[in-house]
Amino acid sequence: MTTAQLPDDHPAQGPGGPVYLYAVTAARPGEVGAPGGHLTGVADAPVRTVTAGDVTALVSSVEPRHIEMVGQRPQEAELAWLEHVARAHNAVVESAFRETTVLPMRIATVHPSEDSVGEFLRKSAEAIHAELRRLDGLVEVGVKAYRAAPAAAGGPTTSAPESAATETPPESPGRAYLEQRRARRRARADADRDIAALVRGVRDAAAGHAVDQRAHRLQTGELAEGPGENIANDAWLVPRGAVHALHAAVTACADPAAGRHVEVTGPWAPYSFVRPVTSHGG
Amino acid sequence: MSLFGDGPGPAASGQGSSANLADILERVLDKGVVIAGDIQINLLDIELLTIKLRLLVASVDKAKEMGIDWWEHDPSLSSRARPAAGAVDGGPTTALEAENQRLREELRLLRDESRQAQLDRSPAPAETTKDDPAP
Repeated sequence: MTTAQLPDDHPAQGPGGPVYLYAVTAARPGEVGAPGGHLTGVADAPVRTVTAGDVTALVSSVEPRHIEMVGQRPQEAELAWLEHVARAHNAVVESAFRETTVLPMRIATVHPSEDSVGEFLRKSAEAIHAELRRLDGLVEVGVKAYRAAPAAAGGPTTSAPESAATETPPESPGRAYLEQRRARRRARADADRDIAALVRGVRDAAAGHAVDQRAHRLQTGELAEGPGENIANDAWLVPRGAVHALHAAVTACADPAAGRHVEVTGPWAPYSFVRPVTSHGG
Repeated sequence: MSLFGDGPGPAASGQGSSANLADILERVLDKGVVIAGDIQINLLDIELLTIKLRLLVASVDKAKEMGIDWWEHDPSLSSRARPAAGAVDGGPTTALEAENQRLREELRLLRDESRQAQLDRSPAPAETTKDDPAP
């Protein structure tokens, strides 16, 4: 993350400059956003609150030149910067979310000034309150199911004889080839059944404790750090009090020895369940 | 944190800095509140950060290698997977997706504008971004 280093000779601007918006809440300013002022956000700028009426936003100053830089750097630097912003964004949202119900904003929501944030809060107060009411007491929990790659640790199916016997030439190469193909096909069908069963099992287990569900895209590639192939990646909207029960229910579906893994993340602020907030102009 | 108490909960300390980047990205990039309406679209340069960041993600090849590729399959985020404008009615489009779609269009407009503005060396008017909020 060295490339995420941002020029910070002048870390914070005056309140007149552009501000990055992390989350909005109906809680009092003192109840969110690290009273000591030690909570920092994007580019390590201190996080502060903007309140209008009875809604409060968590914001921090951003420097215009950081904005201008985006898209101008080598890819590695851009990705490092993106990671920095994503993590900082989530860290601020999370700190507030521990204390109260918040609406997490989408990444890189930037207002030209603090006044503009205040205007947004005033014009959107009704929508914000409605959304906060809807999500009150609810958290998002991520549930990912994995199936270990068939090659891993020999696998549960007994295909050992074939691979072990490849040393000695089979009587008929053609027949051996066909047998191998058949075995592979069988194994694949078994795996598909296994995957479907695990996904169904995990979802059934979670559904009993949740009020809503969103299926995220399966995680693949370098960033997918799971213990196998990601076969389900769901977000569940769960009452705070039911998080434990959901966790227990879904992890009970796992059977690591058989290559069936379940990972639970969160609780998160309800990112996957918030609706657009419409501000009424005029 | 307090949500899990002392129990053997998952990620009991919250997401923190150790959370899987993919988990964070798929939430902060793709989800979260999108502000609809006229508030945000009033200062072109600033609004551009949002746009740039999202376009950046979609344009970085490395991101794809890393598995950040979900926009490709999400009609609301991808220009490639996106059906022709106005053709989303038939699909199972959520309000958020529709909003995304609309914002995407605005982003595209803004970007073109800014490029134009940079060429012209004159401030681009924001009026074209204030198109009808109604889908």
